[in-house]
Amino acid sequence: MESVLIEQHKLITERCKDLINVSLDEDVVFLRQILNKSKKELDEHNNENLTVVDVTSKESGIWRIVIKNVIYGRHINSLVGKLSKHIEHDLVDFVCDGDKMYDKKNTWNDGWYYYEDKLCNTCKNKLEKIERKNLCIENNIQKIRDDFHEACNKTIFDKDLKLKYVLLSRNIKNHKPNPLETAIKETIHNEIAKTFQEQNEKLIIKYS
Amino acid sequence: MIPVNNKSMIAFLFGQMNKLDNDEIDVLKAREQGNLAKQVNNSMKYELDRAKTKMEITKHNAIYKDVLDLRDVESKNF
Repeated sequence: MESVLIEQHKLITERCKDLINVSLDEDVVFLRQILNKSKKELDEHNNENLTVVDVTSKESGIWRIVIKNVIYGRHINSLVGKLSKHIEHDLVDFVCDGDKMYDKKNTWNDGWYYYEDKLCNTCKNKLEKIERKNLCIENNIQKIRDDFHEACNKTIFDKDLKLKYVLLSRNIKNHKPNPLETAIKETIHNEIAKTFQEQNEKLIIKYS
Repeated sequence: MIPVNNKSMIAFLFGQMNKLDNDEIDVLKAREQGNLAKQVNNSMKYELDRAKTKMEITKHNAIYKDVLDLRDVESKNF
């Protein structure tokens, strides 16, 4: 019975928000009263049951970002870091008479511009080789990102975990998190990492 | 000692947060519990890293036909 009431209040708040945008001024006050009444009921239910029944789309979006941040921090960043080390940025070191071939005023990648037609064949080959290698690494990095991104979307996380995170983020909206709240946040992050690791063992092994 | 997993710890910590909001426990106690939970989280991170390393070793052994094993620092049973 209570869950039906909560669903009604959720529906009322959603509809009221929509209606307020298109209502006449004299009706807005009335609609706000209804909205506040339902909001109060939802807040009370949330506080009593330590949950969140009215997750907004913005909060859902933040939850997805949190998941990605955790996975990036624990898996992708180290892989990308290892690969990125092999990208050659300072191409000026690889050509003869570099100063004449490059022009600092124009921009190309990291601020250098080179006149390819002025390079000797040896340098041209060297550059091509390096550029091919760089491109290959960049493609690999993108592949890792895409694969993990897809895995993140496919991983099934506990619905309650999301609700708990939203509840926590609502609690710490107006103040700096205390040690208890920080611990909850870390525990949720660990649970995200654990769930991902359990469901994506093959992917992790593939890129280890 | 009650066995704890991540989910039960989240539920416990939320309960403590609620108690703190209702002044049923003081800030000092909440802080201490938060710090203890932090230590538990560190252990959990260690377990996750260990699992990841084991996966890497499995791959290494399969590719190079090796028999590497993750050395157990704490090998004694208490």
